[in-house]
Amino acid sequence: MKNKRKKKQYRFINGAKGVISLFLCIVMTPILSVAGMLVEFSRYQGATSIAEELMDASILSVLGNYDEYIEKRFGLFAVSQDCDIEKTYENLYQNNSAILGNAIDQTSFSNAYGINSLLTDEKVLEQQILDFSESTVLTEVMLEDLQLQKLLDELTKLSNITDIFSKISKMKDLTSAVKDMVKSGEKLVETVEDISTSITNVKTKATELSGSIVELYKKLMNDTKFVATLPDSDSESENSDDTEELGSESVKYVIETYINSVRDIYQRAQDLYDEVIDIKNAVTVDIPSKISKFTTDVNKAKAALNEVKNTKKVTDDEKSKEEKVTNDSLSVLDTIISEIESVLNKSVEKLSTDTLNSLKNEADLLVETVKTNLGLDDVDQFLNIENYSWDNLSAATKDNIKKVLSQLDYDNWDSSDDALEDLKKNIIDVFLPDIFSTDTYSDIVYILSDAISLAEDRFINSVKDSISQILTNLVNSIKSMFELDVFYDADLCAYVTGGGNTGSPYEGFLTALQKVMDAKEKIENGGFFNVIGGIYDMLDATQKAWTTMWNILQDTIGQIGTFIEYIQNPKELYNMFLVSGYSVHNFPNRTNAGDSKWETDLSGYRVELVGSSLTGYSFNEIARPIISTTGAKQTGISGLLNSIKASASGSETHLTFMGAELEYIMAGTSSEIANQAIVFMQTYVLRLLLDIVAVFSDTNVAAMASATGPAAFVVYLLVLLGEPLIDTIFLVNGGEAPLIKSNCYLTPMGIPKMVSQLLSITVQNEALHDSIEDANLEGKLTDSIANYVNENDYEKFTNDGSINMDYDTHCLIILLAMTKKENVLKRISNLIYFESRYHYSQMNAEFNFDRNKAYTSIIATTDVKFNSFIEVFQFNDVSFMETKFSVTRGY
Amino acid sequence: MKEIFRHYKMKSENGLISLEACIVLPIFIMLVLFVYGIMIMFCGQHLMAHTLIQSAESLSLDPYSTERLGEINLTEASSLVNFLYSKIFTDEDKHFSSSEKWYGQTDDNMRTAVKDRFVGFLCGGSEDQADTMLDFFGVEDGLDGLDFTNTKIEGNELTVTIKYKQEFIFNFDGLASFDREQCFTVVLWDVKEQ
Repeated sequence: MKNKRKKKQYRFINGAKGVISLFLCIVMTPILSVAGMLVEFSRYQGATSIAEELMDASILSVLGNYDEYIEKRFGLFAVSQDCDIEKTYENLYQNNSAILGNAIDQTSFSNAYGINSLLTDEKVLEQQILDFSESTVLTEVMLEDLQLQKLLDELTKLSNITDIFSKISKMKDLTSAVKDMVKSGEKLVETVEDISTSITNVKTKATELSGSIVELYKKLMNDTKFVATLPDSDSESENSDDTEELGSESVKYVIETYINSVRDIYQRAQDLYDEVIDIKNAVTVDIPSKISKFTTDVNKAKAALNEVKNTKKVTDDEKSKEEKVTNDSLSVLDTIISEIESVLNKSVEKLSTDTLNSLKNEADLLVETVKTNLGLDDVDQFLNIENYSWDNLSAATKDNIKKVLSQLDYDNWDSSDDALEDLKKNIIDVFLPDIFSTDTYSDIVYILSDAISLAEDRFINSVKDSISQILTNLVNSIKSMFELDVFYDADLCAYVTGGGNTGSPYEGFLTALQKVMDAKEKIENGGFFNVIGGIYDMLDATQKAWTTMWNILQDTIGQIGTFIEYIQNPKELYNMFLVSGYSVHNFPNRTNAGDSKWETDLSGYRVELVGSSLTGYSFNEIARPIISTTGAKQTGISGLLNSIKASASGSETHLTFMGAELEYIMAGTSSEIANQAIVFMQTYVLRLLLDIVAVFSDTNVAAMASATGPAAFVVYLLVLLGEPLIDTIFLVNGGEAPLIKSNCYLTPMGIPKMVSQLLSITVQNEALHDSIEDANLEGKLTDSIANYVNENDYEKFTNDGSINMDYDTHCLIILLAMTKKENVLKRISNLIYFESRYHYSQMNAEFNFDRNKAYTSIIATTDVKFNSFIEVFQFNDVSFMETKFSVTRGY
Repeated sequence: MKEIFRHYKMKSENGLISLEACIVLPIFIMLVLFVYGIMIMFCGQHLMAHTLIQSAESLSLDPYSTERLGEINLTEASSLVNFLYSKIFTDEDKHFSSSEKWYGQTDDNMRTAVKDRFVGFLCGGSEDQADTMLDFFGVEDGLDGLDFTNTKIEGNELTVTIKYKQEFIFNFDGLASFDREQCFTVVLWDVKEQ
């Protein structure tokens, strides 16, 4: 029974039968489930991975429809605007979706669109430029071209030039002090001349006064009525020693009959009195104050001179050269200060306190004499009375008139000329006895004239010839060069909207140059005061030019200092280098303008452009509009200033790109002519910076400066203005200039070489070639100046530097040192846009190139559903089964 | 005799487990292997698809580099430098790049270039490894079993097509062999649309 029950309890357990199957079922079911899930997961992973690759590859294929013009011309990438991104992507995606098999179904229409326009996103543009520049090994090419290490070495040397600028600043102060000193001397001389003139006037007026008295005397003695009023002469003879006073009746008759003559006498007396007062004031007030001011200014000039002399030397290597330059320039200023100090010392010696006191006493005596003898206390009252009747006169006036008239001798009338002349002298002796009996005034006039003559001898005889020859020729040479049509090429003119310029910083600088030219005219007129005035004007203009130049150079040095700081951030320097190099080598500049231009079918013309971009795209194939005018070309400085001003005001617009695109990147105004002019000036300033050492170390320039004495600074200024101008003219005409020059062209030795080179590089430009020949620069500078310089052997002129740089390289340096990367990128973007727009408009007038649609990336999104291989794992409501993929890819 | 039979009867359940295991385990093992085989097939397909896409992408860029960097212009310094750079500093491998215009030549050249690129992206360019790998994933005849004859260029589009037979892990004398065909189309850069 018990066994039966037990048997019943374990009736389903039959020993170990089926235990393996059971065990495997229990164990393998979850194992297989997990394995199946892993298979599905693997499928899912694989499918999603392939789906993303599919989208990625489809986008890449869409990106393959890039804008051919932008790629060929600029080496950059943007999706072609005639490509329908969404449709192209969808087609590719659908065609390739079979590769997914059944794993994934697309549940919605794919969406693809472009983002990051090349022409509106600066970061994208910059990155593409960097990529392109790197891919073309631009850096290596540029490093090789520029010999960067040498360039950096030279720039490091130039950083020492701030010491030279310190000296220039002090020289500017010295120039100012010299100018003030000369001005004070001029004022002193003017005052002394005034005294001299006043003394002459006193003499003249005293003579006129005595003449008026004698004239009245003659009239009275011929008037019987008056004679009848005289007292009886017999009765007077008893008291012949005393001068008998004229009777009131006689005086009354004179007043009522000869009032005009009497009034004329008093007017002349008043004039004489005023003149004497002026002399007294000049002697007591003006002369001492002018001498004091003059002394102060001379001392200031000497102090400024010593300040320059004590300026720290540049470097030990440069010490001897620097000392020579300093001595050469300072010796000239030493001379002018010595000359003026000499005049001051002589003036102080001659116009000593004793002399001035003596003059003052003489003037006081003169004043008193005039006052006493003519009774001028109430002369104003007399002169202002309208009705000169006897009754209207005050008693004092009557007494004064009576006193004057009583001094005439009515008893011994002699009407002969000799007698009357003696009478005049006697009257002068009576009125001005002491003054005219001494030679005090004459001595002073002589002394001052002597000082002036001495100054004239010094200034005119010693420097005028050299000034007139050297400065005139220098100015003429520079003026001729400034009148050349070199500031811009009007055949290349462009229009870019949205530009803008706040005006040229060089305007003041050029105005100062013009003033130097004007002052030269003054010197040429001759005469001491014209010469010294001209020198003063030149120094004044020089000071202004120094100031302007100083500001510009400080800006430039500051910017180059920033560039040198770039070195501490090599990546940024590298990037800026690539962007600048890209600009210089991919965009035509004015030196790419060829020799020919031709008429087109559209009544316009095109200028040939030579050269090509880094992509090999010929500049001549760049899409440019046909223009119907050549632009309003203006020559010389005025043309330059007008263009820059017009551009600044926005009134000047020129039709679009004809080739000077690099200049637009550098200047960024809306006028391509102004761009060329501004870049010309930027290049000029860069050359100005680089030429300073050459100008101040060239012995011929120093010799010319020494020869001009007080105008030495003007010579330095003119050479410093002219030398970079010559270099810039070379550069814009396709020539080269050394980084650091060894000789200056603006010397008799250099100018033949310069003219020869200039004529050779402009041989294709007939107009400029002819104008250079017409300018006769060689004739203007060589013949007359040759005598003043140490060396005028043209064959010995050397101007080969260790690094010769062309216009492109200068532009590269300017871009690196003076232009912000953000601005460069914006302008590159503008150029790409305008060129592309014109390119496509010429191909298809209806096609409108949109700068916002130059996409460089594509973003695609797709909703997909994952199909499970094993039906049991098909969970439609599980999130991973339906997924949205999003893929972004760009160039 | 009866004893003997009884003894036999008593011993008749001995080995039952082994017997059961012998019957059931192969079934389970085959099940596991089936899952494994499925997984290998999927992986093989995924590998082929991935390689196909990457190869096609790579091929699509060949014309650009060939046209732009492959031709030297002696008048352009940058072109010369690029040329030297590509020759000196880049080790050209036919499995990853080509400076030949395979896209403008005969179909055979094109297919050879496509196959080389495929091998490159499959296993770095080693054909032996490619064979081994393809064999592992059941591709019949390994590399030789890949058929690129349907690959073509139409306009500026390259369509890479591969055909092959993939065997299941248990082929059963060809019964579990599947024909596969995968294709992928890309736009060839710098090739004008005809």
